Amino acid sequence: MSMINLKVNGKEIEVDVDPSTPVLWVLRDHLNLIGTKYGCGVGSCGACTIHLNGRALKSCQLPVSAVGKQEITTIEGLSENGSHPVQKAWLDTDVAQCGYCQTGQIMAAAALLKAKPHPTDEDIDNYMSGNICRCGTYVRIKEAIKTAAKSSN
Amino acid sequence: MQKFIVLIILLIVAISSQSFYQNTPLAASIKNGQSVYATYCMSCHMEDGNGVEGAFPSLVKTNHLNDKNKLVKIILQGMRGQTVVNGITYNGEMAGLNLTDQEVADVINFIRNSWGNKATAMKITEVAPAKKSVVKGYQAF
Repeated sequence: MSMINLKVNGKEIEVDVDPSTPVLWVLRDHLNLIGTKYGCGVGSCGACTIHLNGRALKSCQLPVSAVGKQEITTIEGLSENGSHPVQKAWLDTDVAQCGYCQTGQIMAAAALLKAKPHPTDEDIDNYMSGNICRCGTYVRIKEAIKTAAKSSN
Repeated sequence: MQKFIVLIILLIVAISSQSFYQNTPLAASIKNGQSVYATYCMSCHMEDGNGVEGAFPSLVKTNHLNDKNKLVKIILQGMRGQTVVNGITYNGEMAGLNLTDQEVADVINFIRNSWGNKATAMKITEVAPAKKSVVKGYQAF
């Protein structure tokens, strides 16, 4: 165990964990930020997607020691009250079915729109392909991303 | 009539050279590999191949991509342990991926010919023997 300093959702935090602990478990077990979900644990499903310096990344494969001074944003920190354009579009489009993957989907979509404010269908397919939805809500996910892209014009 | 034949021949030459240009085995493989990369690799190694410092190694301009056997093993069986790429130490983990031999060859061709890397084509027939090869210092996931 060792003390590790992190910046999570704008706050400086110190945690006492093994340096090899995946960021996902630091968030969920130590910081009680349980919006980020555990899916496969091997970086294949995207349920645990967070932002590291604004880039979407799977937190289950990222050792906490690798974070350093980079800023972590979780779904709890994406907006204060669910007002991020992607979150709004998610509600307007009724994307979620069971909802388990939506944290990861929303974080990935937000990072995509940050990098490419007006993505093409191909951009969306490519970028979002690392986030799996077992309910198969892909059509609505795509629609919501397009709605969010329009609303941030 | 002669003009017509010449025109037809020119047209055939033009079309076939065009399609030949697009379908060189390496170019086609790189294109497919790009889509495999976007689906399976990009979320850790990033769109620009730079990875994440400390966790996911950079694939940019590196001699770590020379050993094709090792690449096949990493892609299919994952990897553990510390590695140093371009002077930066990485200590992440990668799970193996469930890809076909074709997809493995394509993604290797894409990585080995992107971001300042340049290499000869990896053939699909090289994948199966590579799986059985012994790679020194390699630790599967």
